Amino acid sequence: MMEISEALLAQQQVVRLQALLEASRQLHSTIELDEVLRIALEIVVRELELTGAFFTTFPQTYGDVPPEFQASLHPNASESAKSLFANSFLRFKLCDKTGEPFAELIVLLPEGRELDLDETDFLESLAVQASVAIENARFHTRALHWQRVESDLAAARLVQLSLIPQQMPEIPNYALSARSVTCYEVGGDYLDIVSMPSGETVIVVADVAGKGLASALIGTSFRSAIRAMVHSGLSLLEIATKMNLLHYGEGDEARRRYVTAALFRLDPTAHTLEVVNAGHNPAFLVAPDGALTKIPASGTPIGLLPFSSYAAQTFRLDPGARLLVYTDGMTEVFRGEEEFGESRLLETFLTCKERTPERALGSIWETLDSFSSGAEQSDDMTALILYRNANGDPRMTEPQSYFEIQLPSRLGSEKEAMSKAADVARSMGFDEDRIEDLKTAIAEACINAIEHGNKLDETLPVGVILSKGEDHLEVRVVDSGKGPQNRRAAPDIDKKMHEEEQARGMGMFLIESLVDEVEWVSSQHVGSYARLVIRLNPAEDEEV
Amino acid sequence: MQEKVTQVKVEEVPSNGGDPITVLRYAGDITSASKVAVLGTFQGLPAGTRRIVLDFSGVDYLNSSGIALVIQLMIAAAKGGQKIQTFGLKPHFIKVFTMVGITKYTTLHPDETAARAAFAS
Repeated sequence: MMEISEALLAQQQVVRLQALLEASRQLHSTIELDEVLRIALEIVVRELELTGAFFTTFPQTYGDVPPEFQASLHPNASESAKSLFANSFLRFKLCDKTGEPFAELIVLLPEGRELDLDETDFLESLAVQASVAIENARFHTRALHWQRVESDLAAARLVQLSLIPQQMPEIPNYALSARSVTCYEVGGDYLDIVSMPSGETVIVVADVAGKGLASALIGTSFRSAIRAMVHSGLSLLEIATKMNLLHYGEGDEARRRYVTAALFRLDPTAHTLEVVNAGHNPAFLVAPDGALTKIPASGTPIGLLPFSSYAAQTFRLDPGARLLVYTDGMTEVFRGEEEFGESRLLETFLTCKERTPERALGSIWETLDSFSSGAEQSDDMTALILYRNANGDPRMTEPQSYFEIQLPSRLGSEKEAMSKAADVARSMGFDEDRIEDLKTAIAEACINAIEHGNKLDETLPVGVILSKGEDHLEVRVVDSGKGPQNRRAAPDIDKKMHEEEQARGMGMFLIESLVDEVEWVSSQHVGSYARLVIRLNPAEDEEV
Repeated sequence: MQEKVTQVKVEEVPSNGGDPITVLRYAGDITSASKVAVLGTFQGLPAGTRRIVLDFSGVDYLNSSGIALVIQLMIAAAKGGQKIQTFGLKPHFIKVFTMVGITKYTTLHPDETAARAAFAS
């Protein structure tokens, strides 16, 4: 008799274990939270033939769970309510990976039913399995949520990028260039250039207080309003005044995200520049003789106060005059505790000898970069430079010495750079053999930039800048990557033929072999570039 | 300015004694996009092809990824005991092939006659 009951007991245990295994399999068969909860409760109630079950902190119940029972578990429930269900239920803790309880499994027993040790063991084990499954499901939900947020942000970034002026307007006798970098996916700096039918150009550089998505949203709405006003023919002063009222009227959230803005209207015929500075950093205007005018704020930032007292100023731009407008991210670049500051920025601009605004911006960014040693910056950075060309427009009167093209990061687009470089080199008198060398070197540099620098992301451009020197041609191939991580050794054909070395990976070697000078420069802010120099008479230049 | 598709023509030419010669005539660009044209065509040659001539006279653009494919072709040929002669490269690409060292494993001939004759020697 004894033996039979022991055998029965053992059999029951095997059945329970099997049930537990099956329960575990089912619980882990899904990562949907609702599904996990439902499966767990269903198993509990059906397997042990209980009245009902539910998890605290989750709304799902299974079986018969009277609402007044759930109320009786509330910490503030009356003693009489609590006593009503005493001894008719059991609770099992659910803990997270750190052992911290996050919910309880409550099971309701039929009247008079008591659970034996095997049954409570089963429920305890099930609670452990359910904890893991619930945690996984929650993690999955969070991951999905983050995925959505990330793709939203990426889309927002694309929208914001598309709102930045894509091309600089052609203004007779003037050259204009701008650059804007955000520290998060989207930023609160706002830059706009509007060409008017009158031939005038309105330029706005603004900075919304704060950073990130909220500031970007304000920036976008600011853009629409200001564009509408510019096109309606209002003066800069009227625009600033109306914008202030409008922004302030948007309410507390907008007021917290007030906007510092510098508004310019360039008349390229009269050579005048009208300015309204609403709480923005002073712009630097440098006359041809080097005399500096700082154009300070004439009032408070837009949207900060309900009233404003802006003033417009008009400056004459003589041939050779230069203007720099920037947001505070440009001066608040840090090296440890030390800030780059306005005076360093001014000095960089004053001493910059670059002949085009593009190159001047490049040189400023390089200076900032070397100041901060390429450290990650914590604010959006925007700058715009305007030159009135000296002695008329050099693009008309002097042969062009500087060419910039942008390629999509798509293999094959390097041929456009090869062709342009060949034209430029031919115009400088390079012989055809050298031109072929240059074409191959540029092709390889572009392919590296497309494949490795920009990782074939077609939205990232590869910039190719050709600068003619007296006796040489310099080429910069710019991408958004971090530059080559290690230099490859020269290819070893024997190793390649014996498959001890990849067949590929000859690009850098070819570049180095074909041009006279190569340099790879990595930079946090401006991306990385390869600088190639090819000389008209290499033998004469070599110091022996 | 678009990348030109690689074209390849397979031609079998008789030889004066010995195995027949297969000439692979390439035209267009040879780049990373040319895998099928370069390696696929080679792998599709009938079994027993012993002598292969690579004719690059129609190739305008050949970059390092394209050269890598040519090297892979030569590796496969070496494994199969096949002999390769090459001609038709523009002077600049002769320079590039020489820099990379491929000339150690295939001779770059001035023309097709010389390339085909080389199998006899």
